[in-house]
Amino acid sequence: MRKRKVALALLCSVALAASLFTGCGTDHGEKQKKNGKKTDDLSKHVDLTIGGIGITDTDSVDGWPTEVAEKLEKKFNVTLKQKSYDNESLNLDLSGGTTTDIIQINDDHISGVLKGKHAVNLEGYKDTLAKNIFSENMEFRNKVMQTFKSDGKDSQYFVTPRVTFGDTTANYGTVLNNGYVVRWDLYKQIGCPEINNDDDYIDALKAMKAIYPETEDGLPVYAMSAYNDSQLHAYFYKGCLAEGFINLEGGIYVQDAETNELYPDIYDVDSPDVLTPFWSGVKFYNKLYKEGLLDPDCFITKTEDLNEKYSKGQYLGGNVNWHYGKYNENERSSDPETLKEYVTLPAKLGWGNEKNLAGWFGKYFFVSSHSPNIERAVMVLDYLQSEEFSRDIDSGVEGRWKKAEDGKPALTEDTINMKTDSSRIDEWKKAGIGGTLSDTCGEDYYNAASDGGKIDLWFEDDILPKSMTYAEKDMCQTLGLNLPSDTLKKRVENGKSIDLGNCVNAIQMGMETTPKNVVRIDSNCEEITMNAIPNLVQAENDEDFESAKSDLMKQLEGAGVKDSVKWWTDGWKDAKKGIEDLSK
Amino acid sequence: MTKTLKSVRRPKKQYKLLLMVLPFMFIVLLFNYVPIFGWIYSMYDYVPGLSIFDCDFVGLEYFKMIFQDANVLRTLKNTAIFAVINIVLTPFPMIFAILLNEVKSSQVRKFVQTFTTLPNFISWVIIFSLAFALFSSDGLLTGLMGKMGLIGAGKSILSSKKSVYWFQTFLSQWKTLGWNSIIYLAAIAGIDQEQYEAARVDGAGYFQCALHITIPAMMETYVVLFILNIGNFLNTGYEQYMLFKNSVTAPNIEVLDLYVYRIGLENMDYSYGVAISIVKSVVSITLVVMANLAAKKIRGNTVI
Repeated sequence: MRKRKVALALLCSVALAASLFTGCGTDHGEKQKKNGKKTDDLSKHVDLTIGGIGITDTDSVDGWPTEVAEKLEKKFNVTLKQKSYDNESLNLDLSGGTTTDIIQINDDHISGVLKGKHAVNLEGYKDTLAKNIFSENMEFRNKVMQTFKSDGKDSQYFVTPRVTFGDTTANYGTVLNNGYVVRWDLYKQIGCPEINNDDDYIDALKAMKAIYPETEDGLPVYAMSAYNDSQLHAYFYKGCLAEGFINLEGGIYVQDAETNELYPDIYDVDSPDVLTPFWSGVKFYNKLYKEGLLDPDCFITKTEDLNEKYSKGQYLGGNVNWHYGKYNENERSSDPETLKEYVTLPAKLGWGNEKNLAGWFGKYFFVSSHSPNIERAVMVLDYLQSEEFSRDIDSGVEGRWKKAEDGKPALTEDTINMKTDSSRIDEWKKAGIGGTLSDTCGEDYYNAASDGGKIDLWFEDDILPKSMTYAEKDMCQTLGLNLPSDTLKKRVENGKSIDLGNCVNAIQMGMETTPKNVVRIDSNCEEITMNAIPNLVQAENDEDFESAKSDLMKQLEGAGVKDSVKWWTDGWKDAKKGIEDLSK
Repeated sequence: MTKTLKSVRRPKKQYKLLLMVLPFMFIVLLFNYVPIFGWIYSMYDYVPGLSIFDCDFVGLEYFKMIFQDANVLRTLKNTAIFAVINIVLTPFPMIFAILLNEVKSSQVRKFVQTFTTLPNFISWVIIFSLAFALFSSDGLLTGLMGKMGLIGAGKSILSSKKSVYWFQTFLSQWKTLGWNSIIYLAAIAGIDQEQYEAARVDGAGYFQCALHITIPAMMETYVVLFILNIGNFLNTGYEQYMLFKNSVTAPNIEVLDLYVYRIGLENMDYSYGVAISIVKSVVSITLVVMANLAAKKIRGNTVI
């Protein structure tokens, strides 16, 4: 009897253990080999899903499948869907081998995907199904992927979106997306003073507040606020624009947009002559605080609260155009000829003329080795990288644009009207232009297509003025410009501003995966800095500010910041050299 | 002969009962015991996407890290403060139930009970939004408090480091008071009414009835709940604190559960997160056993 009990208990334990281990030991390589026939047979209809962090779930996309998606579905005999992942759900699917067919990940997942053999080696399809991926124009991007995001020779698992080709020339678009934001009506009333730096900007904000202390509804008006659900972003990003840097993930380290050198953004003791973005941003907010211009809820405001206050007109300024869209729309819908609109003026760094020679950083697409339709997934990924798809997603399927007699493409008047006419919003969404797949396409907006036009025809010089609002037209008339973005163009020509033309953002891709101990130090430093911000921003004088800064530096040293700085500095040096070698 | 038959039948009846319990035991096994397998992750340098056995074995490395991590001490201190305050306030639902029971109008009683129970079903996200509308610098209550001179212009409780402990406790008490009192109301309903009648004949008033009949009758329930609370000493949860955390309140509001969330899920440092959770479980079990032993010593009987 006792023996039977023991045997039963043992059997149960083994069954339990077996069920737990199920799925852990799948041989992905074997499965891949079985599916490794390089065929372009499209006779069987299959379902394909693209998943990724930051990708929109198609169940929540109005107008899906869009015209662009329908064309793709017809071409490859598939039903296409998108699935949104967050870190946890992606890790869970990777561990269980149940990911979508095509996946987009960031740098945090590269190591697990490679070691776990979750990605299909695209080199095997180089001459058959993946000709767009391996086209001549993508050579540098591919070299970067093969050298830094692979596990050996003759392997390429990942592709990036929005690759800028070497001969691409960019303009700054119609309006600027980043810089010094002002309410145009108020800025005009104070006489459009020239803004060359943060001090000029604060003076302008102060003058605007003097004539507009509260909204029409009696709500208090502030110059600006920060947002607290994106860690240090509000501070370092403001500083990046004012000082001419771009940030690495998290903003603990920044890259000089002109020299491409790396700087520790917060722990700045080794570069006393450089005002790093974080300290520039914090000093700016401190000045706003001292002038009584900063929203007192600055430290509890989250992005949605910020958007809400912008939509009520409670802020006079800002540094990005992500928050004020609703206010502008509301004002225009109540009066199409309103001057009450936010517009953006240039800071030192204009976020334009970006050279993404290796594509967008932090977005790596691969075909899952667990997909039951690997070949079809490779074909679709290859198509996403193509000029044809990139044109479709940015300018609409052919018919939304037409070729003129000289063969040059141009958007039709109907398409232009569709974008600006709010009553045609459903039609616009169905067209899929700039829609949900736009972050997946292979080519940069400004790349020259084989027909001579830009990939994104909305960036053609003759189209740019057509999307201006009444307030923007008034701005151009008042300041003597053709386009609002000419403010940046002029400053770049005068040497007062810079753009991203010299910035090699591919260096970031050359960095090794950050080791866990450095990730821990960086995360801890980020948290310590977040907690130090109230004392810095609310410092009543320079002495208090320096004292708060000195306290923060000591805390960072205690958290091991020097080890982090060493790893990043050494890693950056190697990555920079590696990318320069590849460019030769 | 009859005796023998009975003794044979009894186990069969018990088997039937056991059979009925089986699905629930399975659920407990599945959700409470199978996840313990996950503790193995604390011994490996886990990389998502890899089988645990393909990851590097690190032994007790992560457990050593816990004792070198200053954040653990800080978050443990915060957790302990919140837990002690909550334990001190454990009689509140009992007192509330007694007071509610004394309300003679059944309509008023039901209204108050419903009104105080409802917040338990409101998510912390909604509560945060309400708190923001009421307590931000231009919020409704902040404005009133400002006019009464209780708070300075442009100040807000939500961004006050000093107010974290009492303000968060106030919110959680407001949310759970009605719900936690239900079990005491049920215990009061079970008290023999003749005891109250006899006491009143002897001249006892409301207060004496509560002191000498209601409270002693509820002590058993209170002790059980108290021991369960002790077991949950470190389990403060993280939703409330995550929502109300900002750069001002962060040093005081970050509790151990929130720190584990930050380390494990935000930083994807799963192995270290699991190691902290294991230590937390061991401490919780120890506390429950100690509370149970204390209850035995004081009251003469154990609860578990």
